[in-house]
Amino acid sequence: MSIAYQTYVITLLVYFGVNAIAVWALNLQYAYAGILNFAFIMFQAAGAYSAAVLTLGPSTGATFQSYFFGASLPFPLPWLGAAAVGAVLALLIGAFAMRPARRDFQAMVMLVVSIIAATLVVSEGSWFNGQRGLAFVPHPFFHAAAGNFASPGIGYQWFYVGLTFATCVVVYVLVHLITSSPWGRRLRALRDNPEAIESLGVNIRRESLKVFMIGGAIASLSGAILVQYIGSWSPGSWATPETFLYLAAVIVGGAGNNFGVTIGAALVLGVFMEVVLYLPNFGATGVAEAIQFMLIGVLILAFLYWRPQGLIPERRRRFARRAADAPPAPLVES
Amino acid sequence: MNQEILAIGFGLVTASILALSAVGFTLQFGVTNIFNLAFGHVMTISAFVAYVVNVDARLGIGFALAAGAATGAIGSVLINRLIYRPFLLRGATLFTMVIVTLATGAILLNALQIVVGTDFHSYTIVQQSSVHFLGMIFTPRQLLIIGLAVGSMLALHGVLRHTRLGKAMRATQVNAELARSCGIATDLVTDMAWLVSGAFCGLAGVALALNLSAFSFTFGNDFLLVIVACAVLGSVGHVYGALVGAVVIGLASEEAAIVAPDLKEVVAFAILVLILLARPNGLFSRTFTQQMNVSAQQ
Repeated sequence: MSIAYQTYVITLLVYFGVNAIAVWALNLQYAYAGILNFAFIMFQAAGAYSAAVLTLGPSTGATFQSYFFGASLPFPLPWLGAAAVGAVLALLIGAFAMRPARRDFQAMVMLVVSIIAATLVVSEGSWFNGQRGLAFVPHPFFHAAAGNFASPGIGYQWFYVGLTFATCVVVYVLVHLITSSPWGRRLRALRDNPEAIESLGVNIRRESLKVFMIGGAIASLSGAILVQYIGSWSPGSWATPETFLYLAAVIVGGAGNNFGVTIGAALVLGVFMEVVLYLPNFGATGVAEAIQFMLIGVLILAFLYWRPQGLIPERRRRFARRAADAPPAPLVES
Repeated sequence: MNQEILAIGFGLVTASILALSAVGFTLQFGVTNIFNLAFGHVMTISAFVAYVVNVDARLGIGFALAAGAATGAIGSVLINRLIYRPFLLRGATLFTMVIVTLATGAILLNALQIVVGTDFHSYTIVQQSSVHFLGMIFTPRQLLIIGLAVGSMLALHGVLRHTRLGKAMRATQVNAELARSCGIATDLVTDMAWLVSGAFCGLAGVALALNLSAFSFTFGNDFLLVIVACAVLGSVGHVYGALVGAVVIGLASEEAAIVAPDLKEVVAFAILVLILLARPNGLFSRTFTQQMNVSAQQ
């Protein structure tokens, strides 16, 4: 394989890993806690910015980009830091965004928060270098000669694919443990019948907030992985339509099924968004992209109408029938 | 000249546009319970149809307003009949409906982009001298917007309070099932709600486009969250509440614009966040608390 072709494949693979992690986070929030997180892309951005400022080193003010804080921490601290930032951000936002009882109101608040955040990042240039964004974010374990921002070789890029996929495995296991635990069962109950679960003494808002924080942390991690690969991040990287794409991936793949949403991410964010590059140019600038987004909308409607469970539906849970003489199992874990 | 008083003048214009749109948004929400995220896009489409009437067909701004209102009304009814209603008949939850309206909005936005492109447009209006009034300055088109808003509000008030249709709408809003069992054709009432709210949406789209010096294919949706802020401030579904919300946010955002133009939206959003913290269901939620609880279960 030629180097250019390999680089293309590597980029696709890294993006696939990042997108998979992101849709697991969204799936956790959407399908397990019934949270319609319209600010999702903001969490990915928070992770990317955090990882960037934790690796770029102190902002001297003399360079072409200025940002707040600034440290050069070794791997994996920037990623863990990004995840922590995501969780704290989710706590702060969830604390007021989840106050309205209706889910659609919550979604609206999150959309507003996401737009305010984007506006602030653009207007406050000293935070993350405003509209131009941050660039030359260092790659983990990669030391360019001083002052030389050489791009890493093909071997390193394959190593990064491995690093991404290893992280995918860790996150997948983590998410699987959460969703198959008794707590995951409680979350499904909360989603399916909030009144019943509330009558059993479960604090719905607190449980939702926990899921929101875990999802926020994982979404931030995905941003951190992405930024240390592509090396730059600007407000253009996290426009609101990106959330819409992730939502499409979850709905197409099968909300509630982690394997399904992975397929959804590969199909919607990979194949569907990539295939346009192979088509001959047509129409005015932006027309192809407009058609693409229109089709995503049609895809969402079609799936919600004809196959709301997605390509690979949520697994039916089976529970062992208890013996007649055994004491009844408690409905809710204390 | 006093800047604060000038800003009150601008605030009244913004409040008029907000009132038209927020009342339309909230009326439809009250009757159907659907949080319609495609609302802003219908505003934009109506404004572009009005543009065709005004610029391409060279008709007056009155015709353009009528065309905008008709587009909004018919468009809203069609969107409901062709997309939203089939989903509701399939038993889609309100949670799903938000995503349905979002996807519908994305389709409308991108279709519009393909048709009109990304260029900025503006209406052709005969320039007339501005009117000075109590230290405020209004252009004739701004007076037109204020008059339009006041007239429409009075008309809606009349319909809601003094006609059988208005009574049926209010009954459907409070309890659709009870209304149906009392012999109210709630399907027809729902269609009428989409029609009326769509007309308001279309008028608001043209009014907003008139007030902006130039508009492109995203301007309606950019305004949507401010509309939502007004509606939430006055309790979504509460028509008079939305009116109050529009006046409060319209005046507050224009006063804030004296300090910095960027603050306009920030103020609207800050009000939205504060109201959700203090009274999650809005200022006028007392009679609506029960309804909110019922809909939260769905």
